[in-house]
Amino acid sequence: MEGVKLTGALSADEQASVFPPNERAERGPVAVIECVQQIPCNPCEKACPFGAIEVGPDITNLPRLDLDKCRGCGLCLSKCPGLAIFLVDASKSATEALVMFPYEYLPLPAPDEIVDGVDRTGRFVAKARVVKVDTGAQREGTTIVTLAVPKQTMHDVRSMRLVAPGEVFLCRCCEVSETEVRQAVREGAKTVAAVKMRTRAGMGLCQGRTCRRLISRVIAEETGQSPADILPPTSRAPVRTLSLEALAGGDDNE
Amino acid sequence: MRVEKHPVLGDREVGRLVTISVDGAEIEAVEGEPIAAALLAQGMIVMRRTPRFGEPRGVFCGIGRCTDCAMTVDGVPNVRTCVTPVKAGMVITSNLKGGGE
Amino acid sequence: MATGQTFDIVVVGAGPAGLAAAIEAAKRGARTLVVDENNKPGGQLFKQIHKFFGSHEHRAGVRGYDIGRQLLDEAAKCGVEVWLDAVVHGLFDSRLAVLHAGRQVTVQAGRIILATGASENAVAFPGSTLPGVMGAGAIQTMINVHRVLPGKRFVMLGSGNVGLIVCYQLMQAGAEVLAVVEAMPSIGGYGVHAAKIRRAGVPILVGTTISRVVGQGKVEAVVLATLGPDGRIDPQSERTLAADTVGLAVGLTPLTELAWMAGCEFFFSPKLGGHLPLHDENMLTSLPYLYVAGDITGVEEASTAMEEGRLAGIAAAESLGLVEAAAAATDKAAVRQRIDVLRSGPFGEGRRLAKAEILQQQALRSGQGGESWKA
Repeated sequence: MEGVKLTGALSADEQASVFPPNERAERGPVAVIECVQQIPCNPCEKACPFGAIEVGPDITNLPRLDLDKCRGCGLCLSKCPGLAIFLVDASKSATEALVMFPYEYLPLPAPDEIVDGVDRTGRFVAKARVVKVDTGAQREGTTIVTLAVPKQTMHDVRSMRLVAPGEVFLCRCCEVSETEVRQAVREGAKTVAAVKMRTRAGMGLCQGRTCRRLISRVIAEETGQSPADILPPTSRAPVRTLSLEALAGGDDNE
Repeated sequence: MRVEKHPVLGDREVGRLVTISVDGAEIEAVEGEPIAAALLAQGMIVMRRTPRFGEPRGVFCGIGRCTDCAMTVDGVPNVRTCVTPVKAGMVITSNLKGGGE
Repeated sequence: MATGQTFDIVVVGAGPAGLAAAIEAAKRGARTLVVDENNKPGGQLFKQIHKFFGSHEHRAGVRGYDIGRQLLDEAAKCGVEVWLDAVVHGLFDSRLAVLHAGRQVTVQAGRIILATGASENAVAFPGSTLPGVMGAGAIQTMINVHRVLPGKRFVMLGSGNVGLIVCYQLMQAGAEVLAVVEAMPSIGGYGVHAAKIRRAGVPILVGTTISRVVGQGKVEAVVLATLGPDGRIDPQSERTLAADTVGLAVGLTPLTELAWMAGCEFFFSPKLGGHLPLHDENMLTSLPYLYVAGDITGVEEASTAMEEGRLAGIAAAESLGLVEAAAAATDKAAVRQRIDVLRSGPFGEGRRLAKAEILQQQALRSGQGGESWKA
């Protein structure tokens, strides 16, 4: 069962009918008008200062986007009463794309915050970095959020879910949150050991055995490195939890 | 629960706060808001019990048509609380025992 | 009864249709009164916090409450008199019995325009009378106008635009929406409204209904069930959601008591919400002094209601001899064109056909058709 009429989310075919070709997104920002039903409505046409959106005299026509005229300014996003217009831009990097969407909820994220990028059904797609939060008066209450997402997900991420700060603990012993770890990475701590020195994550009773992998993954996400390249911190004895008393007596072998 | 912050409407403008009495309990309300809104803000969702079976009723239509939310206000029975504005010092009873009015 | 006052045109209902009607009538020189039973004007516009659809030339993309403010400003500028807390409880030919702020007054009208709107339909299932089950409109009023959340975890019955929009607005107000339940095999409202709440992770369950609501003295759980091909509940499919509030968005019915009381002819249109006053293309009923506009003439939406109001206002002023027929004809043609646009496309088709049927019926019954079916 699929399609907007049955599930509220566009089917693969419906998505294909509105996506600009990837080459166009590689050249720069471009609107994606996810309007597939003939609703009598045309504010998008007027919203575009470049005349790139055409509805025509019969306002139930589906909007047509002129891919060459569209400059990706995003003015149409907050004019669509259906909040059905998005913007994708694959021109900025080889691995990341920008996705812009309307967002009318509180709280709003802060620039650089890491959020969950979600798809048309609210399912998690990828971690995403907030690039811009536009609450300008011309948006008339419809905030436009720009996320940086992995490039292959730019046609899937259509909204976001805030990751509640402080609620997700990576280091259970020292109670260090994911937000703190990400902040540390962004401030230059690019190895597990560096994160440990900065945040105390991994310095508790378990000595990092539980959080090490989680922290590696965050570093990989933040820096764009492969998890294979994030090496575990230097292993030092004792590598298991034991009482120092057991060691204090010296070596029994002698 | 009050909706304090809102992405489109902005922060809630708090009007004059007054006290009203509901079944003997003093509650805070905003002058001029419907009595039913003041009660819902406190999580009080049962406005009355029915005369025949003593069943609980709360806000249903919210626009003064269905009378499910009727209570006794300052001695006047059957007042539709969803369309009756709060005034300071109102004494409201819910008739929770049921029975004819 | 206190001694009556006289107005050229009295409009019952200060919603989008009523205000638009009054503005057009007053602009053309009619001494116009609008009466409304509520203590605030605007009808349902002030709880509509989303941007409206339609043509950008006619305020599409503007939020409902802003349209409400614009209408009120315009009405004040045109000299429209507005009585609030004024309940019209009887209609005796062209006289209206009004209880205005506790005082009983009689108002004599040259023409009356009924713009009384519609009210939400109820639906009955086991537990539907429990506190916590309420109309979607009631929820919308509470959260957007009074800024109070009537619950924390909601289930909405009905996936028309009202159900979808209220779910979206519930989340904007900070509530959790567990599901939208739709008995029909597909979503009733606009896909873009559905898409907004789907992106937030709310499931829309088509072919499903609420089989019962359970709880001690209040809603504690909602039992859903799938509907079989015969339209009956499949008991094997029951599952429970821990909701504390249920919204009902299962359509509206035109508020027609005053029209019945006046004795005008009626027509039954299931598509438009039931019995409604038969009217011609000037919004005139079978009674020469009685016009109708907005949801009382068939449930549509606010933009159409405003246009119908304009039509009724122009036509009523014309019938009082306040405007030249040619000027009125031009103005009415422009409004009708806008109405046609609002009813265009696949979503408007049902309403368009139902409205055409009303005009056909009216033409048939008047035996003349078109502009002049005055007795």
